[in-house]
Amino acid sequence: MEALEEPTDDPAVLAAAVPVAAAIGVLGVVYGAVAEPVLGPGLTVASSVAAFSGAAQFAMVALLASGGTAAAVLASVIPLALRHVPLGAILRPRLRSGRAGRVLLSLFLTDETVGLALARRPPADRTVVLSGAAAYAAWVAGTVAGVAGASVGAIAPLAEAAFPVLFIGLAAVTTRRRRDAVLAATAGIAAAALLIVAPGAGVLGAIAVAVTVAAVGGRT
Amino acid sequence: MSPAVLVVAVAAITVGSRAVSVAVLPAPRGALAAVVERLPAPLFAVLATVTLLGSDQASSPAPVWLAAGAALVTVRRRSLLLTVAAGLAGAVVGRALT
Repeated sequence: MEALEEPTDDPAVLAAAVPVAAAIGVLGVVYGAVAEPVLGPGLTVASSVAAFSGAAQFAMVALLASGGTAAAVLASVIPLALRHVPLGAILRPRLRSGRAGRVLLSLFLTDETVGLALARRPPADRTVVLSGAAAYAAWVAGTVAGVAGASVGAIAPLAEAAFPVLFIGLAAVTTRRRRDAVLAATAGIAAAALLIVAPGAGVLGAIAVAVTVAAVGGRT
Repeated sequence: MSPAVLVVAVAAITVGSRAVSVAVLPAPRGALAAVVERLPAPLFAVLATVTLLGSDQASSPAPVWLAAGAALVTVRRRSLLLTVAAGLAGAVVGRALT
């Protein structure tokens, strides 16, 4: 497998961001539709504007809808937020902005924007901002459409598949060498084994598997 | 805690963790940098696994597995557009078959 890198000009970055934004927009419609009865229309849209995190927002609404407490919501959101630490560590060496610029840029730090940035030569700043802005606009617009009553039935199967498919695609575009492919496959299988044996390990357990595989992979 | 305050708290945790990760924590160096350099593909692979298997023993329905399978077929092309298109097509086919 060759060490390929994608073009870094703005049109190429935006073109790469289109499928990501489209998938996120679909998820946004679903979020808007399921959150509106729980949070009300205004707060549903406000949550997408302020948080821009599908995983955290879906977790929040699912727990509230099932009678969960605020403490339960926060306990589920914090582990999801902690995944930003390895994402930030991966991205940090590729950023050229100063501290203030990185704070602004972090508003668009998502799994998807990091994946797109890693597929390109550094600096990653502009890729994160452009792809993040497209994803953010799609997420908020999708939420508004969902709140306004867009039909979820037709897109439900697409929404359920969007996250796994996006992550598989991001694993592929961040694979530059055969070694990366071996590590990704190993981590995926090991995480599956962990989640089957210990479902409570969750996102943090799976991330620990990825870090362990990346650490051990350098010795082989 | 009112829903509005909870939304603010969730947003603060999410936005804060993003900012801390790139603006406060130092860039990894030495052996840690080498691990981080190898981390992206395994990290996205485990996130795909988490979204497929879930953390609550509620595994994904058949169309989602078909979508994942269709996406995996395309990974050697290293095209996010192709992988997303194949995966979503797999979901539609899976929905039609089940």
